[in-house]
Amino acid sequence: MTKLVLKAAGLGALGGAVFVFLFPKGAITTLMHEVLHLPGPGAGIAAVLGPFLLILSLLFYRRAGGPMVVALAFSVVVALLAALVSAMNPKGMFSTIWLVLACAVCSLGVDGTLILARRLKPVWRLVLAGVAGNLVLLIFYWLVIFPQSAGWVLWGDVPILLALCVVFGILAGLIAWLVSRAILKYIGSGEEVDDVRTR
Amino acid sequence: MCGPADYTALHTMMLRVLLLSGAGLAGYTLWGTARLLKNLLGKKRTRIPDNP
Repeated sequence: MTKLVLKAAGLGALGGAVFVFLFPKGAITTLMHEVLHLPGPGAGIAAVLGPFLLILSLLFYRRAGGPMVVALAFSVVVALLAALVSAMNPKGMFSTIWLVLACAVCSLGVDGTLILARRLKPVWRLVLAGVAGNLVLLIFYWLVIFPQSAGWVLWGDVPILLALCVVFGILAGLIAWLVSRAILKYIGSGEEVDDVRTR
Repeated sequence: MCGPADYTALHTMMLRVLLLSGAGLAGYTLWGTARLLKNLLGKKRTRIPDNP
C-alpha cells in the first residue's frame, strides 16, 4: 500500500515537473486563443491541463484513492515550481493553493465516477471518469478561479467549451486505458492482465 | 480577458514537446532493442525429442 502511494506520488510529481517544463508562461493561452481562436477562459483547462492531469491520475484507476494521490502530488509540484520560477500564466493561478483545491476536487469527481461505474468494462470506466473529471475541473475553474483572475465566462461560450471539455475527457480516458493496458501487459502480473481483459 | 499573445512561448513549447517526444521514442527504441538482444543472446532452450 505504501509502495503504491509512493509510486502514485512520484508519478504525479514527475508529471507536474514535466507540465511546467512543457508549457511556459503564455504558451497555452496563445495556442488556444490566438492560434486556434477558441473562446475563453477555460479552453486551456479543458484541452491541456485537464487531459494532462487525467491521463496521469487514471493510470492508477485500479486502486481507490490512487487518482487523488497523483492529482495532489501533481498540483503541489506545479504550484511550487510555478511560485519559485514564476513560469506559468497568472490567469490560471497555478502558483496558489487554488490549483491544489481544483485538482483535489477534480480527482474526487474521478474517484467517485470510478466507484459508481465499477461494474463497467475498464475502457468505459476510464472514459466516464475522464469526462467527469474534466467537467468538474473546468466548472471549478469557471466558478472559483477565473472570476478572481480572468473574469466570468460568457454564456455564449459555454456550449463550445463544454463540448471541447467532453471530447478531451474522452480522449484522456482512452489514452489512459491504452497506456495502462500496455503497462500491465509488460510489467504487471498475469492476474492483473486477466483482470483488465475480463472486467 | 485572455491575456497577451506570446509566440516565443508557443515556439518554446513546441520545441520542448518535440524534444520530450524524441527522447521518449529513443528510450522506447533502446528498451525494445535491449529486450530483443536479451532474447537473442539469452539461454537457448534445448528441444527434448518425443521418442529418443
